[in-house]
Amino acid sequence: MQLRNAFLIFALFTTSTLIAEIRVSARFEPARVAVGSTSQYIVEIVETDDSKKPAAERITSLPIPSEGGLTLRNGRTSNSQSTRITNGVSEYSITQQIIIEAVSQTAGNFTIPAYIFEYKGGRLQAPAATLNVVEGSADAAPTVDELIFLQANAPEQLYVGQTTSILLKLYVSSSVTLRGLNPLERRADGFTVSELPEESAESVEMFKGRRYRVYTWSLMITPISAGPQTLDFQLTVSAQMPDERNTRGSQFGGGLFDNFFGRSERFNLYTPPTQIDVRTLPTEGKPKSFSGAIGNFTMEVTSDSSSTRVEEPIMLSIKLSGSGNFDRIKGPEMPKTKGWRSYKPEFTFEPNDLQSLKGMKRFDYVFIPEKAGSLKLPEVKFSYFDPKTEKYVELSAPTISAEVTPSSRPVMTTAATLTEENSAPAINLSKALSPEELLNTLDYRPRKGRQIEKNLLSSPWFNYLNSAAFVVLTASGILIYRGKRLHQNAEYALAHQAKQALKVTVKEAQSNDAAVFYRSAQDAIRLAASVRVKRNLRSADFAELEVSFKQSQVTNEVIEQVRSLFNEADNHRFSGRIHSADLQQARTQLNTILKAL
Amino acid sequence: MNSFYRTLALYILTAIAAFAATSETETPFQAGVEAYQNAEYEIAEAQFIAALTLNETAAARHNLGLAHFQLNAPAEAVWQLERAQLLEPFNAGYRYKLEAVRQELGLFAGSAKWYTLASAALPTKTWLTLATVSFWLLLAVSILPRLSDTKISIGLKTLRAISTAALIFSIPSLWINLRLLQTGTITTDQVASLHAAPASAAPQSGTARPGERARILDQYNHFYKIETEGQATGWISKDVFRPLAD
Repeated sequence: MQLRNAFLIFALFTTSTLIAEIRVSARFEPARVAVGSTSQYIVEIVETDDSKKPAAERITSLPIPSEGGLTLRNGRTSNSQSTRITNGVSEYSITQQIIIEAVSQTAGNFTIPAYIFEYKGGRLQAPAATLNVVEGSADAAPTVDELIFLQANAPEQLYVGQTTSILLKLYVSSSVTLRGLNPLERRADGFTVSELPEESAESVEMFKGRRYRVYTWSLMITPISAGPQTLDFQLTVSAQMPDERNTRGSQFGGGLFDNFFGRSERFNLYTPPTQIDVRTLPTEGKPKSFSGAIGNFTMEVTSDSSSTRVEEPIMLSIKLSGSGNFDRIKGPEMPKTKGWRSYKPEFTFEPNDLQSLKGMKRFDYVFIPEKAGSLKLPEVKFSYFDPKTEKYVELSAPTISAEVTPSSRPVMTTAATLTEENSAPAINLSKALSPEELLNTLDYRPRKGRQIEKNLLSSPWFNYLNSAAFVVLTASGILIYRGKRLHQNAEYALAHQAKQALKVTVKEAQSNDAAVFYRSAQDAIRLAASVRVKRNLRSADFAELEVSFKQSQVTNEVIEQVRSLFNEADNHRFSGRIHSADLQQARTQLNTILKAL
Repeated sequence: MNSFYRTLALYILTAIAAFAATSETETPFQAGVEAYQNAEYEIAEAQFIAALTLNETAAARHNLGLAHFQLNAPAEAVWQLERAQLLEPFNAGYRYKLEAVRQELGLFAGSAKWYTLASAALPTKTWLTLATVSFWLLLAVSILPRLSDTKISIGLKTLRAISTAALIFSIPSLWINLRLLQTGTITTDQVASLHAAPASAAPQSGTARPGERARILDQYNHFYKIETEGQATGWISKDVFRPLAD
């Protein structure tokens, strides 16, 4: 235990030696506030160095011990740096402030005890700081929140897309001197909010018996999401608060010099938390012509002329006056109208107020007649949602008639122009037809057009074509291959010829004439042997055949049958006698031999 | 004998009258043209439909499309004009009128691409025949000389080059033509709903404009699955969509 304490003391000593130029202080500003008023708990780290400019390490959190009843919120950091040169020696310093707002709803003394935090790998100690919170009373000095505060008059309910104006008011007590304003910050995820105008309206108001200068800005908000939406604003101001010690005790009173040389402080002002109930527009009763307009409007439709010529434009103007979200109003859709060609409108807006919530928006449509006659411009319909009555209103204007006379423009011709000086003037012999006229022109000559066949890829015709092509290609391939082999391979050619000859000979062997039969039978055996051994044995006798048979491993039984048949043939040839029964037996014997070969 | 001549004369007169009556009878096409000229568009429509039942011609399709247009049914007119153009792809008048009606409907009216026009140079069947014959010829010219171990002659080389070229031209053209036959148009004059499944109660997945072209991706029962010019995809009832190859 003693060893551990000794080590801790050593470590603390070593650390404090290494960062000897760092000083830490902690305080409340102001140190005394009324209940519910905001004070600032400031931890200040000052780092100095003679050799180089020190680099601050940003602190994002502090291990502040909890103090019951004191609420700490909205922490932020502030950095400043300075260089001092004394007798040619520079001293650099950098100051980092961690500023946290502290507020208590109960009176009493609140002390944040000393605590250790890590900084640049070392350990620093923030000293204790005490805040005195007192009950407010009639003769007590007003708190900061009473002297300067921010308010916004947001409505309780809005519709998605409904643009409305809200007033942001900064109340500054007459005893406070406002030195400067920082940019407005807002927490309004469910809204689009206009920028804070540079100029504000100034007025004087009495509030809770106190006199205030009021700075008023007008902001435009438009909800973009339905449901309860938070709308909070934060404004950071620099102001000089009245100093009781100076003003009350001074014989000369507070005044010019106090204001001039007084110290300004920065205050973060917040509007009270506000929630707006944002509703979606009802779907029931929504007209087809509705395009997002919310407010209250009137419509006026005019045309710049009641007569024109073909292809000469006429303008249809729609004026929408009233109050509402003019920035979201689109020109009403014009239906396609026979005889007219129209283009997208151009619009102008003339606001009647600074917020552009009131005014007149004008849409100009260009219509070009395509044919002559008494034509009607399309009926115009415009609808909007009235948030007061919570109903849709549809405005419509009757159709406007226009008399259209034929065009006076010269018709373009393709006739060749004559260049001779004394030539007769060119006469237009052809007339270009308008699109309307062309659409009235029929085709008088019925011709047989192309066949429109579906499923061509699965049609029988396609299948037959491919099958035939396949058969022809395969047959050609086989024939070519066979011809090549007959030409190049002598054995194959011999066997092929022998097979052909064998077919003829076997047929001849069916004869009942014994002489024909035996001659054909001997030839058939020789040809079959030629096919088997792939050697020409067409003129071989039995001895040669026997040798060949033995070489090609023909069974002895077959060889004996061949021998028998050849002997019978010789007997017949030399004796000339044979029985029909013997011929039948010999035919059977021949078939057996041929099968075996 | 007199009675024979009288009978013969009567027979001849009847035959002449019948011939005259037959020759004076106008075809439904001519009747449609006449009705159209008299602004009797409903009669013209019926006559052109009758003419198409007898024999489908591009002129009858075109005229029926114009009758539909006059009867304020531009979406149906678009289908008829598309079909007429399919029958006669190089009729500039048909193409102009089709684009004019499409423009009336607020649809994009651009000129056809060069490759579409090139693929329409021959009918689909001809392209298919050309592709098939080229393929087999190319195969034969490539395989058979190898089987016979003979040197390829200049004639075979020429044939092989021609077959290759024909195949290169015919396959893309065939693909474009077959793809065109897989298209159709919206025939209702209202904006049509596309559904996420082939059922009217299915959630709406998009919309198709009247007369809009669309490619058929699938079909099931009484629905086609289509992809429109506007890239919307979904199932549409066969009541409001008609394929061009119908």
